[in-house]
Amino acid sequence: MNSAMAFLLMMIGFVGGLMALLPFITPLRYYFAVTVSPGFRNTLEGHASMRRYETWVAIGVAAAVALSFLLDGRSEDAVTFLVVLVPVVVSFSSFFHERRVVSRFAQPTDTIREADLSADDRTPRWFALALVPIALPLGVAAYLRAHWAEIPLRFPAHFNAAGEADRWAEKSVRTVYGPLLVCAGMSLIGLLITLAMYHGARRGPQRTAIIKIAVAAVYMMAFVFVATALLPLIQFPPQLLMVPPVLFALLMVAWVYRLVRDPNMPADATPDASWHLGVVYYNPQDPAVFVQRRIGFGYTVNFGNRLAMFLMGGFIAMVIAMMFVMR
Amino acid sequence: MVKLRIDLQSQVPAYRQIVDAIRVLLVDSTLSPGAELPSVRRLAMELGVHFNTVGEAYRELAAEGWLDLRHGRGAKVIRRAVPQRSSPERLQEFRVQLRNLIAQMRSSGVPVGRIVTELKSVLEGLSHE
Repeated sequence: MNSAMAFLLMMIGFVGGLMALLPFITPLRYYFAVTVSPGFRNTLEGHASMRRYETWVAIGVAAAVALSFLLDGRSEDAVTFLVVLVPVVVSFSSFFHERRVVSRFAQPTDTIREADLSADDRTPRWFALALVPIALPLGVAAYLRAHWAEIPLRFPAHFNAAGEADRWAEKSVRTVYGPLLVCAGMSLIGLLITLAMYHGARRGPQRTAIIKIAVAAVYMMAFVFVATALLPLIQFPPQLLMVPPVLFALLMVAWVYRLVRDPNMPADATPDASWHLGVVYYNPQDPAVFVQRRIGFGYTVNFGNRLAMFLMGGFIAMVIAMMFVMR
Repeated sequence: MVKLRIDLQSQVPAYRQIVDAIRVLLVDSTLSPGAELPSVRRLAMELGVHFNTVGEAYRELAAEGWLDLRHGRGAKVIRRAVPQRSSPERLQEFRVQLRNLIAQMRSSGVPVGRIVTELKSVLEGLSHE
């Protein structure tokens, strides 16, 4: 087995594991994105849905493994992406099917609403921590500048699944500092999205938890970009760049698993009728810009809210502008 | 932490529930002068109702002299001038409302003695002003 195949199998296992855990890292109030009674998960119907879902996840993983053996030796990005996508597509197809099954047992959405009558929130001080990933690339840029002469004239710019360089870059200000610019830009966008979530979502312990996850994700992303920027200067196996995202995902899964089982952790009481496929929330009557997701633990935008659309348009425009600058 | 609770499926409009609930908190001094309430946008978001619903409720309480509405910055509880004695017409309105409520309680099987106890208890709770 070559290293490309080993990497591919590892990715399939990782993605398959995440898919299998998906129903367990979603607030207990929802089961396959449907509002259910607290004990529904443990009923015969609940168990049957879970069994069918897990079986299909396993089928998706097996299909991806079979495909990767058929494509033995192919290490292009597109191949890796398509093979890893197989368990995702199969799992979500099964998830949506089970959602239809479970919707027969849906509970009416709670119509009692409670609000804390204290004044509007001020942005907490610990938000300043989210500035670190914006400042970090500046420090690394200064380090690269100080060691400019040691950077080779030609260095790897891209690696395939086997960890071999398949694209090279000529040494220039753009190629050396580019990843750092992207890092600062993405961290800034991350910070703005986090701030928007804080002020545009309902209050509650779940908001604090989700914001912390978002800040941690920005840190992880910044770490990967900074490490990438250091690659021309400090030689290390590029596969190591995969370690922080995988480690981050595993830690988050463990933390969220604990969070959703906390009886003091409420979940947004959004009406089932406003959810499409359990993924898209469209409710023009709801003034919330961000609402709690029904799949996994986090926020999604309210597509029925004009401010949400304006914000998302702004963030997408910022990403496109950054890609344009980097060309 | 002072909480406001409404039922979106109640026959009583959401704006009326908000006015009534906040007024109770003002009359029993749970919310005292100087207290800041959330902005219209924030409260609407928390309750999942339209901004106008909360705006209308705040305006009614401001008209009664309870709140100072500062544009875009929420509402602040203010010291309210002692209201003038209610007119006979207004008193008659309250009497009708009270009679209807007591009739509802009686028809739901609440004994007279219990109604008297409840009225006394509610009155004592609201008599801080």
